[in-house]
Amino acid sequence: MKIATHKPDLKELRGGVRVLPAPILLLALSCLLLIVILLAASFGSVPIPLGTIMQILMNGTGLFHFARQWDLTAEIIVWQVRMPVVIGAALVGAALAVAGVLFQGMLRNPLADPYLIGSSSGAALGAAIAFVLPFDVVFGSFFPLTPILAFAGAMLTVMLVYSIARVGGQTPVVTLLLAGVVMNAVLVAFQTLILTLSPHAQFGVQALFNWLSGGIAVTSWSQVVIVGIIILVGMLFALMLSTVLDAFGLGEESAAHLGMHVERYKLLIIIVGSMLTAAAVSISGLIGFVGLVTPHVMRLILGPRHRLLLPTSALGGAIFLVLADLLARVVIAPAVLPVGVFTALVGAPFFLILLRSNKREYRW
Amino acid sequence: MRSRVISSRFFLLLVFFFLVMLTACGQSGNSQSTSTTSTQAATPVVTLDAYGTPIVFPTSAPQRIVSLVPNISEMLGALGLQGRVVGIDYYTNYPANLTSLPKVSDVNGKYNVEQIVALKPDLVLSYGKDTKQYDAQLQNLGMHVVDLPSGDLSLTLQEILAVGRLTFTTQTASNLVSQLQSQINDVKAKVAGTTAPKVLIESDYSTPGKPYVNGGGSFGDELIQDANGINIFHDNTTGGGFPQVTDEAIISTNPQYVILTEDPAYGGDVNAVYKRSNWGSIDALKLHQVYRINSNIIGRPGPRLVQGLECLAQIIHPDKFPGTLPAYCTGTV
Repeated sequence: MKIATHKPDLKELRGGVRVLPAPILLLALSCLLLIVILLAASFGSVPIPLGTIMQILMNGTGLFHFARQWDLTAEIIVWQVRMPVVIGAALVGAALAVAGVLFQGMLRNPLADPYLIGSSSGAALGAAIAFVLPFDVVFGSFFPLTPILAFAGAMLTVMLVYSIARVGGQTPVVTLLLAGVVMNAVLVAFQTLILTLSPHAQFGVQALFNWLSGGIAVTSWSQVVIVGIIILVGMLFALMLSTVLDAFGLGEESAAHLGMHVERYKLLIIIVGSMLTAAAVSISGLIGFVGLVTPHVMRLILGPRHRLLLPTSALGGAIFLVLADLLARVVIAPAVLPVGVFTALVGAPFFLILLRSNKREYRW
Repeated sequence: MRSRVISSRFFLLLVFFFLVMLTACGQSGNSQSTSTTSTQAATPVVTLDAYGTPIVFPTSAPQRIVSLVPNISEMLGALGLQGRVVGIDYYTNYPANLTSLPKVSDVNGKYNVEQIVALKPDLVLSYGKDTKQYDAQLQNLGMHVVDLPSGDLSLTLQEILAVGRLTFTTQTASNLVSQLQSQINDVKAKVAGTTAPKVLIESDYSTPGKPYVNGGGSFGDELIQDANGINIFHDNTTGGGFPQVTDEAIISTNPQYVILTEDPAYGGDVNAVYKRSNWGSIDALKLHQVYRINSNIIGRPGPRLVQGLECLAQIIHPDKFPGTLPAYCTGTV
């Protein structure tokens, strides 16, 4: 049995990164994430020296007590204005990357991204409703309306798409994809209808455009904490599903023959994936490309085993989005580019270079 | 074949959701218009902000004021507070001595919270919930934010008094407001008893055949009424005061005056109106009564609304206002 006794020979050991044991790889990526977060917190429209920022951040962790040699406003800017955005970007990037891995594993399609089965249009519809509703959140209240409605819209849409595609106890993948496409079209039409009929038309359209272009829209730590809890719980569930995803890679029939409850796990993957996507989209609008590119990049570097792919994609997605958000804020300061534009401009060439330079044929 | 239990429930949920959405859209138009009149009728002075909470007036004169909207900047300029303003928004363009100050927003309407914090303001002024996404955040960062309510012309004059009270310039403000009020009364007296012509104020013609106009609830509508004219779209209150209408509606109501408000670079060209297809039968074009007024003096809730009223009255009742039209009527700032 050639496959069972296959030992890696010298040529394969030159595969470099793949040979590193998993804990070291994860540690390296985590350190890289921390460095990138520090870098992102040090850039903004108000120049604050890097040393000051490092001292402010270390003071904030409670382990250090540097004497304050900086203005109080610098501390407010770093902790209350910049850090929520940076941590929010990291969480959104991680959530989208993990959701991308989940959907690509379940649908067995390299073009699958987290928005495929309707979460993007559902969230956009929720946001459009939030922008045109007359009752607003009360000044200074805890829960702003837009993220909640965007989250609800995304989750409800995905559940609706799943229930439409379910025929006789089974959900064929092709039906799921087609139902998602149809749902996207219908919801975009609803969204246009609502904006046309609403009396707040002018502000609604501008606000919705800003929201759709993508950008981390957090204004306080409370939003980041709530979304962070949902995303971390979702990523934990995703990690527990890693062997299921590996089995899915063999094909649904083979997985069923191995004794796996295919339909049950499909529903579970859809729920976890859409929960991650909805939580990410509720604070960031529609940022494309992260969920599509990051799993592919990690798969090209590290191989398709999901047990390693899921955590490294999460860290890779977080790093990617924090960097993209940083560049979006800095490149034409003080104007801010939409982050979605940046993820596409930065992600696409990088992915192409990786794909072309890899001598090995791209294996799914 | 088994019936789909899950899908029918979700289908019902979707239908219910859809009905709720439509009802919300239908009712939202009414609720918006009633809120402002109740604020106006209750007290003669503005004491509640745009969210209905009482305004907290500062105990000492603010020295570092940031204005987040262009009409508040105009009010601050009219009250002579240029020396105490430290930040303005991107769209502030009048008065000229404020335009060189640091801008805290960009062309897309995104406000730079970091920069506002770094300017260390002791008073941040906004208007009509234009910056509602940012008000709570700025308040939580320790700034004194006042978001004044939106309303009609008389409420705008009251708000100038409120800004005066917020900035400790009450005497200047009451002088300014009484002067503006006497100008308004003067115009109304002069046009009393004249026949009211039909007027169209257009906001945008980018989509040929479907222009945006000033409808009921906009300042243009109110100024037309004060100048003794008839706004042909007075009954159309959709679109928040700026509904999109069709060419047919304009041609069938046949206004005697067409007033453009667009910037000359973006469609505000009077000569181009004469070339519009199907518009040749409109009285305004036959009598060559197509004009352009600076949109900032008939759209911005500030002291220059009175200038807009005077320009409009002079255009539609030229016999009562001899002399040439002043240059500020057709300006672009």
